[in-house]
Amino acid sequence: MATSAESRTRAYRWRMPVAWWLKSTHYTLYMVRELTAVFGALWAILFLAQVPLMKADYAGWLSQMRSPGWVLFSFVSLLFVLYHVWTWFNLMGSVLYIRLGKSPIPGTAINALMFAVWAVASIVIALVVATPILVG
Amino acid sequence: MYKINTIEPLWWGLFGAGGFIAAFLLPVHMLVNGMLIPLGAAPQEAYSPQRLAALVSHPVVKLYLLALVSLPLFHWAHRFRYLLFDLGIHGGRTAIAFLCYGAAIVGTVVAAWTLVRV
Amino acid sequence: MAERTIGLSVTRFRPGEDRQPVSQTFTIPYHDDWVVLDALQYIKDRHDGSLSFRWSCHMGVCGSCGMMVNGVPKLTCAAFLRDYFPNEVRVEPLANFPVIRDLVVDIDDFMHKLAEVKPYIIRDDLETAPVGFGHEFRQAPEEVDDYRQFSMCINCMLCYSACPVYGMEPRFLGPAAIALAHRYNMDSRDQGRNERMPVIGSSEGIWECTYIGECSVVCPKNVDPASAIQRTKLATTNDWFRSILMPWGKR
Repeated sequence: MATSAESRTRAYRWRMPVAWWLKSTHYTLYMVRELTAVFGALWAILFLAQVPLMKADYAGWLSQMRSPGWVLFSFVSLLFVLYHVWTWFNLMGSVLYIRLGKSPIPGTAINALMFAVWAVASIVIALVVATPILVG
Repeated sequence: MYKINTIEPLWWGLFGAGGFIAAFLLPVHMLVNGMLIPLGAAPQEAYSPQRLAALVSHPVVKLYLLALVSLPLFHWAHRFRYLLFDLGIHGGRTAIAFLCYGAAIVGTVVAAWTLVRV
Repeated sequence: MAERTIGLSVTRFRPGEDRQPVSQTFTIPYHDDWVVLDALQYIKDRHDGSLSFRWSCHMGVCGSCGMMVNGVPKLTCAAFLRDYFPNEVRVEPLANFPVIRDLVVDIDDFMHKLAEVKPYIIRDDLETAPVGFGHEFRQAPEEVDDYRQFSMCINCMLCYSACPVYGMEPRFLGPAAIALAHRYNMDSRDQGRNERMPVIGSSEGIWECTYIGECSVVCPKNVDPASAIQRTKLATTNDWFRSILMPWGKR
């Protein structure tokens, strides 16, 4: 069909609904994925605010970090950030294209490697921060 | 070589780095510093005043904490900038980008200053 | 036994007469080996000869029969009625494109964008290279692997229809065009990357994409345009940082 200038001016202009992200589960989950960044950043800022107290006002820090609000916010943030972890690493296989010799590393292997490194790193950090085992 | 007439690669690079930091490092800190230690599930000598003071005074720990805070801020800035667009705010895109990345830069400077003074 | 039937609710739009599209429902015989395109052809033959839609090959190769089937972009020649029966099937023109008539959309925008990314092999030595038998540009199988999946694109535009970013910002270069640019950039025989990058690396190019990923979900040829876009972002970012940190470097 010819798309002459005339037919284009008479064409119906489709408009994206503002609530497009509620139209499909994929789109809604995408918005949740993007929202996870808010929790990551906010938690990091609130954590940083505690750091000077750890040295200067130990008792103040104790009561601050033991408040139910902090624990609850950390729990909610953890759920969101775990969703970030899941989506971020599962996309890595599509983003990274690495050819080892003649064949590219399969995307699923890259994803699995990410999760493996994440698990090891998390355990090491937990041992350093929550126990005096690795750093006395 | 070709010319790239946009600064987007800088923001995307910081967004990506922040995404990795947020994924690799944040969950375990949320669990340990946000839940296990506050709930008393970690041995007390792990967060004794002496150990904590020594840890947060160490330059390597300070650099680590700076990355832990700053890069997720840039990660947030990038995603939030596009999240507002996705929610239907289609005007003022340059101003929104300026505000988002600006907030991340200010946050980074404040974080660095805070850590230097510890 | 009474003949089984299925309902099709089809978008109708007559330019110049209708202010906006309306849907019209047709009840037609149901056959479990029919695709939506068969149903549309039945309607055009038996009910309303003025029903307009594009199609050509009826076998998933030409890429012209893409429409929204129950809100999802599909090649109608590959969407079987049996996957929807006994429910009514909703057939609409591809989302995100202007509607010219009924199920026919204006594809000029995509055609311009496709041309902009120069989706063909570019070489500096075409004039001087010896041509003819024995002088082809050779390629190893692993070099074909670098771009093979992206070369499967049939320009059906389902990915544009699935892309909310394109829906909100029509200047966005879009999934297929970037995937095809990537396909040639990754081709070992091609030398045109520096010509394509200013277009796809611009702010209306790859940077509008937020990796929603629906383009790759709806692609009937299993191309992963979302991955092509992120790989291009990564490569462009590497190039950018290299040019800032090592301005004396050649490339």
